[in-house]
Amino acid sequence: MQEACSGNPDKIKIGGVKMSPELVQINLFRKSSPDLFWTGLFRQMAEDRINLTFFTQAAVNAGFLCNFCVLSSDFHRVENLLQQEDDKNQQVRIIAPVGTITIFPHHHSFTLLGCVIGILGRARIPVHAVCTSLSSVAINADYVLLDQALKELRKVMTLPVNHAPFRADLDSIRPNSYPLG
Amino acid sequence: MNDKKLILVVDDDPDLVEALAMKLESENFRVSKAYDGVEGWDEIKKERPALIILDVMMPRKDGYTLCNELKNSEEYKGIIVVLLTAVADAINSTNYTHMGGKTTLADDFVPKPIDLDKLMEIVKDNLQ
Repeated sequence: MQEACSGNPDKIKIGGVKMSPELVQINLFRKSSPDLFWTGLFRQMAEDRINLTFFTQAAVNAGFLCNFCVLSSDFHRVENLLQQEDDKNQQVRIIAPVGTITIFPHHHSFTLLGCVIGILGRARIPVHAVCTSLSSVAINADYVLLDQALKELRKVMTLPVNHAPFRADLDSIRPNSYPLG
Repeated sequence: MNDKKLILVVDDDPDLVEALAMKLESENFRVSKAYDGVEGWDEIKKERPALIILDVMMPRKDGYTLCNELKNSEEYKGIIVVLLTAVADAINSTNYTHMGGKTTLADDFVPKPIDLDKLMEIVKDNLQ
């Protein structure tokens, strides 16, 4: 795998790649404990059926950081919730539009993650957030650069022959976009 | 010859596929994986599974369609199909209905969110 990342013709075999629709990334930072506020915010989002497509949380030296994404079409509702709870202890940063590229499986190794970040770095594609899950590596990049990012990744990765479309068209059969799975 | 039974997991959520695979392997099954109905067919043709755990809502070819194709196929109709179905209160808002599920002739159903113990019970019961 490392050889493929450095240009060896032996490509990395992966199970699949998915690309999200257009998203807005919201970064929240608080110096004090965020539990009360963030729990309330996400509970309200759940009640309003706003789907979180991406979520990371971290304790850093200076405080607490949370990055999450919602569909662009849902952003105005999230913005209203954030304004209702306006708090001087919290810094909010909005990055839009972004998109998530999900690559799987990582086979429980960080090598794929390093490889992906290296490829995007060499192509000068900004990465706004990264996370791994049970099987996948997910990267947030500028939405307008997603196709270019995919093109770079495909230079070193081999997909299954009958791979699904990179952008799943479920909206036409899922009118309310519920996360039913 | 490997005497472990092969189970195919088909779902467009790779994390769910991985989680189910880990659980099934810990229960001494072999697992093949696919991420939509089209890939599911490819895997079935590569090696016939004893049982398929099949999601309903997937791109390209959904679980109902794949299940119907299997059950109408002389060659593959004997494969046991367990459908993963969405919760009842949300399914009304989609084109996927319980009625649609019943017409697929699936052998069993498991509601989402999945109770892993219940799923394992269903898998083992159907393979006996």
